Amino acid sequence: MSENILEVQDLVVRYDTDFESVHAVNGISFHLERKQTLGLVGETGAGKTTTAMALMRLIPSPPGRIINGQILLDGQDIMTISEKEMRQIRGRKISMIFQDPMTALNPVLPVGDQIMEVVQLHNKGMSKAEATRQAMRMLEMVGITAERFKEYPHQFSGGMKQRVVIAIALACSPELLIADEPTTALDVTIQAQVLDMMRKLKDELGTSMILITHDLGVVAEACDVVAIMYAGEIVEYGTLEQIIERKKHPYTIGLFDSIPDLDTDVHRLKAISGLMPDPSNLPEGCKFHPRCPFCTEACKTGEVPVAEVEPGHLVKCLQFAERGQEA
Amino acid sequence: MTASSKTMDQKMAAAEAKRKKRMKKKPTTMAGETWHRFKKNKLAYIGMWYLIAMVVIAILAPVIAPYGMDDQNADAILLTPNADHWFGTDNFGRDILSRILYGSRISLMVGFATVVFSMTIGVVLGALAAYYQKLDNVMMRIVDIIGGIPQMLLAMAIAASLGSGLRNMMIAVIISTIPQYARITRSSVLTIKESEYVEAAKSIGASDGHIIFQHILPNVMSPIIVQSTLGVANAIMASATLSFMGLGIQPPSPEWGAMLAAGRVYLRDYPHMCIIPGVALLLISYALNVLGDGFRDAFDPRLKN
Amino acid sequence: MLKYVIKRIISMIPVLLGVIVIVFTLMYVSPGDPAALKLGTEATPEAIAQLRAEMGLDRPYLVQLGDYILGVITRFDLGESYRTGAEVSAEIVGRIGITLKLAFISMAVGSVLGIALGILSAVKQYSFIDKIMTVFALFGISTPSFWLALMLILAFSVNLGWLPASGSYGLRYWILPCATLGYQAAGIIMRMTRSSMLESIRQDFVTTARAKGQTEGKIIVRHVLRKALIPIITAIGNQFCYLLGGAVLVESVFSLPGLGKYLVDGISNLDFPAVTSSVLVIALISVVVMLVLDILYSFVDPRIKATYQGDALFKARKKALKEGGEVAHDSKQ
Repeated sequence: MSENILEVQDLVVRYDTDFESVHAVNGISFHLERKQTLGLVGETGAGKTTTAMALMRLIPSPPGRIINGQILLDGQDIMTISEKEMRQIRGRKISMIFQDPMTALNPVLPVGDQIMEVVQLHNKGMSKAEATRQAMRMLEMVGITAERFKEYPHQFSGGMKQRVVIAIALACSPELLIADEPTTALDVTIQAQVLDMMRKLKDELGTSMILITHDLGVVAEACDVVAIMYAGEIVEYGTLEQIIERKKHPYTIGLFDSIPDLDTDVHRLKAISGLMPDPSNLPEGCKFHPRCPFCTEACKTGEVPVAEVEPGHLVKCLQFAERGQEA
Repeated sequence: MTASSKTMDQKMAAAEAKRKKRMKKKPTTMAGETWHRFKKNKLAYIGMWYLIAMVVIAILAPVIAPYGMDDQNADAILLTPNADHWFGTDNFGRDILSRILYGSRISLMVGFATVVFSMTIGVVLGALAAYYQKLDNVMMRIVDIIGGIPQMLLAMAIAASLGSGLRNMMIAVIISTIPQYARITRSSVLTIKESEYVEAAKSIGASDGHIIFQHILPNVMSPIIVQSTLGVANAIMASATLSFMGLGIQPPSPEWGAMLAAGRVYLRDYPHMCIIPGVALLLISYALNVLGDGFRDAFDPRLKN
Repeated sequence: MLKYVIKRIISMIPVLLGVIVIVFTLMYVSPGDPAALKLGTEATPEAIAQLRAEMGLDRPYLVQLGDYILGVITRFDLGESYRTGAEVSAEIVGRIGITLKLAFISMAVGSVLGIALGILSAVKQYSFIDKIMTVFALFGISTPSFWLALMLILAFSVNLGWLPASGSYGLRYWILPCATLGYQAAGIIMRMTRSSMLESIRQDFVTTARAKGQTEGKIIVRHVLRKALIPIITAIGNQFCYLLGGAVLVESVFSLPGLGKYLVDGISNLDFPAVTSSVLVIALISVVVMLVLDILYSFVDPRIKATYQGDALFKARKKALKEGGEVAHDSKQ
């Protein structure tokens, strides 16, 4: 049993179409300790979902392809194992909660069957009655009465559907749970409920989690470690405290400045100027330089090295490159 | 870095450069993108050219046909395909190739003309029904009734009632196919009517006419274009069927269905009289069907990629 | 649910009455005179007029129509054949078995073949097999049924001598007619299966199933096919009705004494009661098939079942359902 549940090295994912190559994920590396929660933060199109799908090895191919990278799940390299072995890992060791609960469930199957499916897949030889009991337990666990076992997805509200999706994801007590914007499609009032429930269950089951979100409030509430993604790269990585209190990267700073702060009284929020670059046509040099207020000539060409500004706090920005090397 | 991995890198870079070269310029307009998707469908592309060729042949039939369509030659009766008569001759010694070429004029004309009529009537009725609730109830009842009769039977009944002949056959085909267009238009319009961009247009005070012409019609065009392409094939087939049964165009007109009916008696000994008109029908229908499919896929990118 | 079925059955009545009115009127306005045809060219105008009176053809249109409808409703009386003088209802009962048998066997062959090949084609999209299947299906759709029938006769009866070309005396006589209609049905059902499968294969719940570690094979059967079934069932239903129309031609090419042949003979002999009644019976079969389909839907899709049961939402949802069904229907009439 290794100390890190997940280690990702230099992951590159690309989508190739007739017209263009979309560089969705460009060489990201990170690791996650057991029972911790990693927040993967960034704007739409930053490559968060692609990263998650790559971890599940579910990148649709064609057009998608994992070009490079190593993914160690519990010390096991899942890039080199067969599809059959990978199937045994999905749902049992690593599972996923999807963004839109409206479409994530099969509308023509009762919710109970959909939970049972994953239970039976990973517990060969379990009797049907036992699998049913387990599925009912899962329903109760996410706060749905077991009587609703035979009901269909259309009979549930959005928040309830997401609970069912969570029940499916946790049914086999996975070691790693990837939650892809699990609350984005829900009403604000429901968001907090669902998030609380996920945290509680995760602690009970001792699951590690990757929480993908663009909501910094959610990050502050739920994460231990945070990775800020921009244009397919992790631009800043550190503990929650490091990121919130001592953020370094201009993009992270911009991101935090663009949300309202209750403590300070501002009349106008600071937005980051410009738009996320087209992933099929990324700028040279630092990907953020066209929008960066501190951009210098040096930023416009060449690779930007990752600097460790304090132990465990990584920043991908030339401002800190030298100091990082000294440290 | 070891030597071997370096050559690997170079190889990869070379492959990458090649791929980049193969990449095409991305079309910028919607029509351009649709056209690109259409061209990717080789079968549909070939179907399109076949159809164009057939239209040219139909127009030039009197020029390129080796014989007249009614020229009877008592010395060349029931010849199998040979150098003089590529497709052979029939029981009156008429050249089948020439008759097929002339017949293409009838089939294409009937196919396109009936579709233009039934599509126009069907689209107008369907759009009105979708837009005006009262009319909708009455119209859908009528469509239900007509829909209760299989299309071919209805066409047969109408043709039997009106009597044979080109015009009556076309009327039979038109009436029996109107409901298809009315239904598609109605359901597309109903869907689009509820869409948010129409709501948005209404909320900024756009008139009914503006909404119909600016928002609804352009969006129902693609299902209608697809349906009418398939509809031409359907109409050609329906008229050939009616003629085959003696309810449509009568001999000696070189209509393909009528030619088939005439050749049926000789099936045992001179099958070329049956095979050739049937292949002509099959090919034109095939071309129109692949073309319709190509349009559908090109208009609806969801099903592709 | 029962309430819904009863409602549907009641709503069938005006449709069938409408069919009677349309076909009866078409026959009434047709230029031919059955009495004149029956008496031949030698007949005097007086004799024709007398026969017209006997046949009731001299009565006003509305009286004739009302008489026919009254007979159908009160006594299941479909009139007497002008040609043979026999009860049309008895003649139809004697022939309908052949038509139904032809339609059901062809449909069964077409459905099994169409669904199996359609799944294969969708799963292996863009592969060589998919392309071959697409070409095969399109041939089925583009080939005129009467010509295909003739070609099958040419190949298997005339040249190979394996199968009989006409008549209905045993199993061997059914192979070619059913192959003709079954191939066409298979083509259409295959295409609908393929496109419906492709649409459902791209949905999010498929990713969910993959994330559970489910195998591709089970995902296809358990998730994708289940979800894709509604348009496939619709296609099968539409195809069945289309097939009843196509059976007319195939029966006459293969000389099968079914309802279709009866109808064609009726048309050429101006046998109005035979024509009107045959069309009526075929229309009745079509609407019953459509009703059975609607009931089947509710077993396949729980959301549709809910709309049948909930009366308040009934109309709105029914409308939505109809549109959904018709989108599927559009692809090929």
